[in-house]
Amino acid sequence: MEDQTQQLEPDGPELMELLAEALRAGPASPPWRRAVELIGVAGDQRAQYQRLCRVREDLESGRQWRSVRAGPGFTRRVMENLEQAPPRGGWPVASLVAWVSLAILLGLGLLLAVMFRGQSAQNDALADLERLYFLTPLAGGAFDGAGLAGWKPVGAAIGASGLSGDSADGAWRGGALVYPTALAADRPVALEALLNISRPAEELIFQLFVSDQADFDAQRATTPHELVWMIQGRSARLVLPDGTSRQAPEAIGGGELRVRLVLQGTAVVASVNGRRVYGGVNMLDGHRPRTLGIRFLQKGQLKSDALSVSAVRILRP
Amino acid sequence: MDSSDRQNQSQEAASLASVPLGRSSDEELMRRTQQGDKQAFTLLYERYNNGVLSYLYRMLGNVEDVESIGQEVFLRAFRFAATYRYPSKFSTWLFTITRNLAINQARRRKRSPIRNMAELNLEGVESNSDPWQVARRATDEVEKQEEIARVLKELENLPPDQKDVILMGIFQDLTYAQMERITGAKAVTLRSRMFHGLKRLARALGGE
Repeated sequence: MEDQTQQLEPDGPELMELLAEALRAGPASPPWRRAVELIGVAGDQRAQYQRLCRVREDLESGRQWRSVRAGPGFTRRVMENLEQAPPRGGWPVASLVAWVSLAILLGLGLLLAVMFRGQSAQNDALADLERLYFLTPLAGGAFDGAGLAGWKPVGAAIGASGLSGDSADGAWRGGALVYPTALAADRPVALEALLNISRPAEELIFQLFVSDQADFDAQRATTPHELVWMIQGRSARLVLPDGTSRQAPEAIGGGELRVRLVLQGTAVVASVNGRRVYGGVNMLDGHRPRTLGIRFLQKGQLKSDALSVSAVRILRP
Repeated sequence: MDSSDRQNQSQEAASLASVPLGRSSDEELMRRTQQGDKQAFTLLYERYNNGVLSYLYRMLGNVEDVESIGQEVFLRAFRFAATYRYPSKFSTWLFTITRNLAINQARRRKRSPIRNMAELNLEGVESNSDPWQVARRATDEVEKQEEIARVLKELENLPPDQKDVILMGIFQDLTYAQMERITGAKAVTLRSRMFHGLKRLARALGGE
């Protein structure tokens, strides 16, 4: 014992643990006897430990406090209840709740993993799309206002700087040039336009669009479900088929602007002057053929010096 | 079921039957209960009703709750006997049920006051609820009586987690390892609660 006492620090964890065990086990227990002997080495803490022991002894003396025994009536009721309630083989409600909660947590974890993998797959698809070189012209070329060879006009007649003629009632009207062949959704394609911005006007909108429905509105030359990059005044943005804008309006200064939409399946990467402004889902039908084109929407008098389109191209890798 | 399973079962039944019921361990009795032996559970009830009811009374502080929760404890232990895992300690399993029900009841009690006292079926309640009476029975020394009564009264004012560990560890003789399994708290935390609880009681004696 002496050896042990010499090894124990007055405030060390061993003494505290021994004391804690002694206080639990109580007077006359082996840990108690050892603790009482060891308190002698407790230094400054000695008085405090002695008080703790005294309290513990008081509790021992008061062990009968609120001790209760079942009376005959209580026991009879317990036994009656046992007769009426046969043992269950199953799980109690708390265990069931715990297991169901665990299952839900696992399900959520799985869902997150699937979503993460989906997100990761989407990111991979976008990275692949960005790495592609679109070197093979499929259609289009320089645009001088006389139209693009083989492209189909829709709605009002279109020139390089807007629509021909003025709107009589001040309402928006539109005209488009549409590549006449719908393209398969699963093959990568790029729609590109070269613009010159000089004095942008709010009443003139230029758009690049990709649609999975070719039902054009007679007045505006728009379709019900399309992905659009547009510039109005000095603000440019990308609008998804559900009408939400995925790119905050970006202030555009003057000068040349090369806009490109690259699509494959459900992914799209939009870039302006080589800088990616959006990459993500395009919300178009991943299986339906796509119609590509450019469009002007205009209100009031033609702003011939607002902007001009100098080239439009569709490219394949 | 193949023949080896049947053989194992019959061997198990034979080994259980060979020990007199009254001398069987708690764990053996619980195993018998799992096999539908109500007499075995009756013995467990006799061994533990005092401990369970006293713990509930010390924890909840009113006899009416003790009666209803006490019934529920034994009913649950019997109905859900299948969830007990032999040979883990029966007392730990039983006190886990008891403590959980007591905590739930204490929460409910905060929301609704005690109802009228019903006809109670417990014994030994009146004489044990008063700290002074308990102290007088413990010793003839008046000064010590006062000290014991003060400590017991102060027990009521302890924070619940400190009171809990003192009730389980001191009054119910549960080890720190058992309390660890019942409460889910680490042993080092439980020791600390024990120390701080007792220090607080010591202050009631006028010490530091």
